[in-house]
Amino acid sequence: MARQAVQIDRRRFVGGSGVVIALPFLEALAVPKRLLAAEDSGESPMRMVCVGLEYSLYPADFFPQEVGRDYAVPKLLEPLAHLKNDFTVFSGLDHPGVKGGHFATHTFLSGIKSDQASAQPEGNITVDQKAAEFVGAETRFPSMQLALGRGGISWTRNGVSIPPITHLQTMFDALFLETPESKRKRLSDSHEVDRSILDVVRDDATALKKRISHNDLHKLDEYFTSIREVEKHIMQSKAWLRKEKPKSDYRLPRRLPGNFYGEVPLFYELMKLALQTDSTRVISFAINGWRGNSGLPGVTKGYHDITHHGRDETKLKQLSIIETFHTTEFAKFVANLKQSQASSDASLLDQTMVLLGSGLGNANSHSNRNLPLVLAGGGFQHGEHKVYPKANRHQTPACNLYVSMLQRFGLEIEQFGTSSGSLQGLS
Amino acid sequence: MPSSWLKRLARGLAHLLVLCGASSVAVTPASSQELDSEFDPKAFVQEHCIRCHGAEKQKADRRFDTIQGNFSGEHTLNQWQEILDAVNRGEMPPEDEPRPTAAQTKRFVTTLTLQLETAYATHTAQDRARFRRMNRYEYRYTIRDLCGVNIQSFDPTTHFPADEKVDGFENIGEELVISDYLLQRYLEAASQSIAKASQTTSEIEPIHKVFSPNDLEDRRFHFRPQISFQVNVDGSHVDVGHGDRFSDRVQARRFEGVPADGYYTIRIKAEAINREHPYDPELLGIDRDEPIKMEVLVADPDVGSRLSGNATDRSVAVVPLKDHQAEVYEYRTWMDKGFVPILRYINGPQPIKSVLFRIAPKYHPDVLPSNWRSGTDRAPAERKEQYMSDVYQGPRMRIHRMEIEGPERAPIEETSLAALYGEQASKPDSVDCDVAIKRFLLRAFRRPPLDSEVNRYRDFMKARVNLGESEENALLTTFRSVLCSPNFLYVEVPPDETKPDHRQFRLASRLSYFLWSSMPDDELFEIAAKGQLDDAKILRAQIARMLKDPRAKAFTEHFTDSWLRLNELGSMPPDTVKFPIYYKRQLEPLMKRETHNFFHYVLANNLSIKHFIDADFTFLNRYLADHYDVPGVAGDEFERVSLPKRSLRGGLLGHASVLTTTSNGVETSPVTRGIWVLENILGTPPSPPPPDVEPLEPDIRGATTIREQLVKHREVETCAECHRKIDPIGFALESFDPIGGFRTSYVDEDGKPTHKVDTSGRLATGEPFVDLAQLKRLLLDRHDQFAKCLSEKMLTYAIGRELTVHDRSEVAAITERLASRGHGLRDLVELIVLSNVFRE
Repeated sequence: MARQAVQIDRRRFVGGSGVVIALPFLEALAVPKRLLAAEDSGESPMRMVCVGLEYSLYPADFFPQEVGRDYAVPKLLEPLAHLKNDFTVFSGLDHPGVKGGHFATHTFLSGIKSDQASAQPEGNITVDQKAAEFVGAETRFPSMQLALGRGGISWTRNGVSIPPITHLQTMFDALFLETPESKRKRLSDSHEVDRSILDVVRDDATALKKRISHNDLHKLDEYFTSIREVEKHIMQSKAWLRKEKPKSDYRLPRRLPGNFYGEVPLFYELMKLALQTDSTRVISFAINGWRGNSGLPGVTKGYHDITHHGRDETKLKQLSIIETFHTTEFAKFVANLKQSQASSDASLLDQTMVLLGSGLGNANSHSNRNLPLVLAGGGFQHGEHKVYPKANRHQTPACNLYVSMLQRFGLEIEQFGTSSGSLQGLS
Repeated sequence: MPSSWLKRLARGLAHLLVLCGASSVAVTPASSQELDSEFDPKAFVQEHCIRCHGAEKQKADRRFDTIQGNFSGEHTLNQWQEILDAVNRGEMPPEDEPRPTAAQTKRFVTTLTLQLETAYATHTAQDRARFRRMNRYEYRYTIRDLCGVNIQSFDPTTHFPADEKVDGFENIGEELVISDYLLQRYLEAASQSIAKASQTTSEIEPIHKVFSPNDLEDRRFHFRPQISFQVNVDGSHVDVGHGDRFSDRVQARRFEGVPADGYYTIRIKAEAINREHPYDPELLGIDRDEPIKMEVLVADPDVGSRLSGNATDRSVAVVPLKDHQAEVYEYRTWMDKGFVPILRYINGPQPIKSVLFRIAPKYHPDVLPSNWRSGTDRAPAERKEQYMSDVYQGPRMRIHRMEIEGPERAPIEETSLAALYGEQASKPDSVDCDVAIKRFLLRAFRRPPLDSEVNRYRDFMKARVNLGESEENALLTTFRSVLCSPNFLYVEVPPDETKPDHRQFRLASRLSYFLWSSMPDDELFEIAAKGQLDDAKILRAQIARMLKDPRAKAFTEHFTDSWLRLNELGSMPPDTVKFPIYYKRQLEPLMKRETHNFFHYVLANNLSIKHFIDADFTFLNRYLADHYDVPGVAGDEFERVSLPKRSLRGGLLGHASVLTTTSNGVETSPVTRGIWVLENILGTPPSPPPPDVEPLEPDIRGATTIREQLVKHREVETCAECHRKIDPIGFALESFDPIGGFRTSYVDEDGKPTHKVDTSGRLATGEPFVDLAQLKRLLLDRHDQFAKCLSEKMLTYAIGRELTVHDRSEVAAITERLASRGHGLRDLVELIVLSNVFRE
């Protein structure tokens, strides 16, 4: 019941503003007024982390054979075995109608392809961004997007792919490096100029509005909406600009790792710190691959090449090394959150839902069916392999899972993306 | 491409099919025909189509038993047009079905064509949205021209999000959204651009610096080579033995960068050492016949690390050095403030570490391959041991000296200040701000500003002054704000009905964004102001002038990249282990350059567009010629090369750019390549696969070929319908591997041949072919279809929106005129501009 009360407060403070916030790492955002609500009640807010793998996980090594609690842990989930009661593995979920292999993996967190976004009321907004809108200005970063190799996995409601942070140092500096006073002054001045610029161009747009036909209004509305939101961001960043960043004893290694093998664990480490310091409550992390040498012992071929294994034994062996690395690092991250306290009676894992998955179901056939999905933490009842069989040729939409996650996050919604409801059997 | 399949489905399948539908049977124009009222096309459909496209079966997801006979509504029109096109092409009804007689078919085609034309004429176009914002590259070019800034290195759009593509096109207004994220980037970009443009360089004292070897490379700890193999042994020169892209490069360590933007002269005294070396060239991994080459770059040293490639790197020149003969090389280049010159041994052995480890055991068994005993040592090993550097006889680039001199003094009318202030630039202390604002608004909005607009920005400036800004700064802030106005950001804005002359300016702007991807220049503005753009003669002269302008490079590059999807090249990078040459020789940009050069040549010489299907020449440099096995090309520069008689490289289908774009970097797919040809050459994209059909799961254990797998696939009835059109074309292209290298066999993981490549096939219309050469002949027979496809693509690019049924007649007219003029590519550009759709 306590949780319920907080949620009501939260909504009142945010005012259902529906802000799209997409500032990856610039000095950004947020009026900390809502913090009071959480502090007063002693309740720790919910967080969300989504990890997306471009090349999926080998289905035969990922999906358990048995249904329910007593499943034998498959090879790829072995690193998570000691956390069996802290996560759920799902079979049979995907995004209805979505296909196109690699060209469709960006639907992972939205269920909607980017070129169809304009036909949707909320575009192809991803589940993390939907959560970020809800958090609004409460944290310094409404959300953070990270990626290794190629682009990120987060999209805003206007169909924009948010450029992710790709360097460890950038992420560290965003979290902990204090903005020098001279730069604060400069930023503060430029905020003031930007606001006056927005005023005058708004007048320009208003004048333009009188001259155009009905069909063009929605385009101009995009512009007006953007102005309003940027104004909001400017107000919010003004508030955060004067606030000190959290202190941390953590230091990145002096010589940063130059390969994938070294970088992934450090990204997870920084993600944990970002959550612990409440610098953000929403993180997405895209793991695409590497350039040059991966640094993974025993991997000699290219990742993409290996995923085209055609069930060839030598390639499958290397694939297994990579994928076991993914689940091992994920497991370490989950275990770390479990050991970290969010409040007197809850671990950080209890207050963080952590999703691992992919928009691709089978890289070998480039199928976008039956996505590999693991959800850990977030106070859900875990420990099961939940199976959602096809009914009347219809797969259960993965967006149903996202509805359940967003509801747990505190949003009062019944629908998201291509969902047909919340996810049955998950509580 | 699979990515576009679903979108099509959502947008209304038929709609797009109609757009790209094509007719190869010549039909007499409607006006000269009487309507044959006896004939009912619906009966023809009932008899010949609904067995496969009716209530029971819907092959290719088509159902025609419910089709309306009254030609009202877009959907019905689309369905009829699709049927007409399929019959016209001879694809339907298929061979194995009872076919109508030739007379029946003719009657059907004639009647339906006439009925559809009548329907199109009466069907009024819906009022379409006409807003289109600049895309990323248009913004960048526009800033170049509006603010007069050099954009060789400067890029205000670095942090802009990627623009959404529609069938490869990045300039489709409907999909170009403005978000809060982008607006924030616009605010920043405006501030950066105006700051860049308004800097004054007249007080800057020019520099002339001479860097000695000791300035370029420390001697401390370098009395023996580091593993990166860049050494200054005795202060007389720096030797570079490695070609590693992400490693040490030669630059003046303590040089703080050039003092201001401007043109500088860089001089380097350098020579090539030991091209003739005693080692096995295989071990070094470099070609002894090739001269040792020095790359001259400029970059901002503060971005990224000194050791790695840097996002601001810009190559100024690649110069073959003379063997054992030091020469001074001189380059004049633009440099932004703070940039430094950098040198690299571009074709050196790499990775040098592995090369040294390969050479040492064979040629120098007694030496340490590294100067450092182990990776953790803090100091070099002791002198008494023998090191690679003492005995290494491999090739090196030797630098004796580097100089930099500049900036050159530029006359004020050539600087960015002139772009900002016009003629007033020469008297900066007495600028008439009203005049300056009015002038800037005209150029930024690409039309004369309304009085209300001038007043608005004048008031804004006054307000800034009242807030304490100096007049000069307030004017610059005003310019900044203009760059965030919708009138600047949207290049396609509906005209103001009360201002008839705006239509002329709008046309000028459309023309310049078509051919330059940027704003009009002064001449175009003047002609628009005089209202002369309706004069076809003047318009033609402008097209000719604009195509000759260097800015027209934007058309060649962006149209080619959009049409052929080359803007996706690199999104599926080739495997580094299987195709090391792709990275070692940086083939990707070379591939694009071949296609761009080819397109430009066809355009500049008004050659027939048939050259895109087959040609006896192309453009190659040494590396690409090597890749193609074409002999006799030695230079780094691209040259026009006549292809050997039996070469398959003629025409776009032989270009590595296209062949790599249509692969996934690991293996080839006849399906992907077949679809590419249908979409971009024939203009008949196949419909997407039915929703519950799963892609093939490759299983190479049985070592079946892709061909055998596809044969199986075609046994499934729902698949066969489209795959009989797709696969055969793709088979002909199996002669080329994922990076466009020629092959006659498939190879296994170790590079051993497994199966012979079989390139034979049969088009859906029945004609057989044995290889790409024969397929190209069949495609040439369909050049009308290709002409229509290319016209549609270019028109889409020119007007920045997707075509609809209402544009069909216009496309038909363009294609017809193009044929009568002999299919010249420049004629096509002209016909597009002169078309009603473009001038509407």
